[in-house]
Amino acid sequence: MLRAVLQRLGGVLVVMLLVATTVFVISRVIPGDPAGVMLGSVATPEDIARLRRELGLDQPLLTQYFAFLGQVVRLDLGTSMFIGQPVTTAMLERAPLTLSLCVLATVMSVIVGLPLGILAGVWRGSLVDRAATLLALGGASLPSFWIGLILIRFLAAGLGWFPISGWGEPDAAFAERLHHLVLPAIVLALPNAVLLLRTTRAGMIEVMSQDYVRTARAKGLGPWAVVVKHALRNTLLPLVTVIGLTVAMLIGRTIVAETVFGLPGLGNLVIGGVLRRDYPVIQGVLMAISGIYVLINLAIDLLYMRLDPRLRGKIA
Amino acid sequence: MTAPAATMPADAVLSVRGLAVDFATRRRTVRAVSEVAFDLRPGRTLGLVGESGSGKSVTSLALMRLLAQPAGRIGAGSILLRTPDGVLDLARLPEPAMRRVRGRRVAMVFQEPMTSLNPMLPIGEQIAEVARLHLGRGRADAARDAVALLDRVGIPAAASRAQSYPHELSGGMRQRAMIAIALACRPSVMIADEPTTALDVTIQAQVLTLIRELQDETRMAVLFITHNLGVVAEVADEVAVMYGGQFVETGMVAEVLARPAHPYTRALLESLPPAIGSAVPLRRRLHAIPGSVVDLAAPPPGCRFGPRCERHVAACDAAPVALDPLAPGRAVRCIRARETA
Repeated sequence: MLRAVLQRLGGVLVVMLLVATTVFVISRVIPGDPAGVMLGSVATPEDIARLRRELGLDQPLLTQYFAFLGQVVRLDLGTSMFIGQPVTTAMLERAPLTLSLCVLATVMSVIVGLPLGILAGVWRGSLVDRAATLLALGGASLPSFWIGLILIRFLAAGLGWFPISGWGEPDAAFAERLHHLVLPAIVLALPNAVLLLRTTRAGMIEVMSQDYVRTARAKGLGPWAVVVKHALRNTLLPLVTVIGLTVAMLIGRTIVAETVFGLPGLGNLVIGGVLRRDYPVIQGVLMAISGIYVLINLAIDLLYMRLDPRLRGKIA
Repeated sequence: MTAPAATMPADAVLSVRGLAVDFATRRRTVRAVSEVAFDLRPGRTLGLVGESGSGKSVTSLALMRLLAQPAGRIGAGSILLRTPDGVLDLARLPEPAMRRVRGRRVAMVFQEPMTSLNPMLPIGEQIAEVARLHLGRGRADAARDAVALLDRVGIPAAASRAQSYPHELSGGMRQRAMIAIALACRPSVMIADEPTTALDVTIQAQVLTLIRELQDETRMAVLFITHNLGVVAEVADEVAVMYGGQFVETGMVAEVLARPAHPYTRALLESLPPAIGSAVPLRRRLHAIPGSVVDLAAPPPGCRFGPRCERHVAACDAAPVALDPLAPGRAVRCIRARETA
């Protein structure tokens, strides 16, 4: 087990090196001189040349590459001239909001998707199943930004149950923060809940017809024990995969939710960075998102080994 | 729920009378099993023989009330089970009461030991949970019992094997574990649905011997389902041959195998390869039964085996054929049985 973990961690390092390399290459091949872009159209050639020197852009590419890698290892992702902050600091400031949003959305999607998927799968063709399928269809076909606007229109502006936008005062209490996050979390959770519902339903339908489920019934176990102890356990692997991947995708999808609800999170930082061609910010966020993706995949792999006795001790 | 005792012989533990099983398809209902009747007695084995689709497994699942839902249901008949609390009719028992019968009074061993055990749970736990459920045993006691059962069914190093997962065991070991699950509550009836079909011949023999031994120890009645007449000869006291969802011949094993009265039983016996060293020349051409299994959605008006039968005459198709008691404990569903008897 320990060997497998170490081996996976080695893999993570290799992937991160590739990501860093890709980020570096992209930043050097895109048209336009970063220094020129940063200083804008009014800059003099002298200004640009000075900034190029400061940024190390006059060095050979290989030297630049290793300097960049050295920075990444030290978690120094450069300084953004537009926001006047080191990128790492800017990201750390905004990370709590985005991470809370992702956690809340994931909890919501699991609370809704998992039980509905189980019920729909076990009672296939029943009223619950049909209602769940309808919900899934709606959730999958309505775009997030539209749902966000509708929620704001009716639940926030209309009924006044939730704040319309923002994140509250800088020193707001946890409960108030949470209150601000409910609607954006719903927007993020809906497509994930749908995906989870469908995966759970399909998994349950398959597993409920397995011989070992019949064995469980033949033992005289009640429906709860049959479903939860014997059937659900066997559908966990695909569910872990789906939950992991949806969490990873959330990081990107928060951009829409944060924009619609005016939340100063990582997504907001990305949008600003892209609009201003703020390369250090884009690079930093790209590195961070890739890192989270890789770590989530690592977590899925390790959970697999934990959950499935057939994979334990095997190094795939 | 006490059923009329008159329909149940005093020495029987399970009596099936007039059992029919229906499967509802979108358009119509098909009667997959009909007019099935038999008695199981403590310490005795009834072999249920027939080819694929003859209704053997459906019959066994009906006894356990585990027919595929919502399509399958018991269409008629009674399944009387003698318990310390009186006689129960399993065909009419409410589901919660039925759950107290499954695994406790009537246990089942399935055909595929590869897929019938839960891959995610250690086998010790799969045995122990039955004892916890029905006998109210504590966690530690049930785990100890499970090890003792694994030891009893011949699994070496039972204490450490109890921690093993199914994929870590061989096919024969898994089937032994399945038998241990079935035995956990000392049921009065064990239904074994082709328990040795998926195993090597040598392992088959070991498992058959094990079932026999356990039966002698616990006096449980066994319903042994198989398509293999050789296995029936080895394990069963009585045999019922099934064709098209009905019993076509019943009797003592030695009697039926030596003097089959139904053309189908005879044809089955003739399609067996001769044993090495028997009087029959080894290179004899194997007999195959012509035609295919009866379509239960549209059974012929007369004898269900009629279209494939060597001894078919016009009278066979006139009306459904009843099971004719030739002698005590012997019955045949053939209008011409008495001609040859």
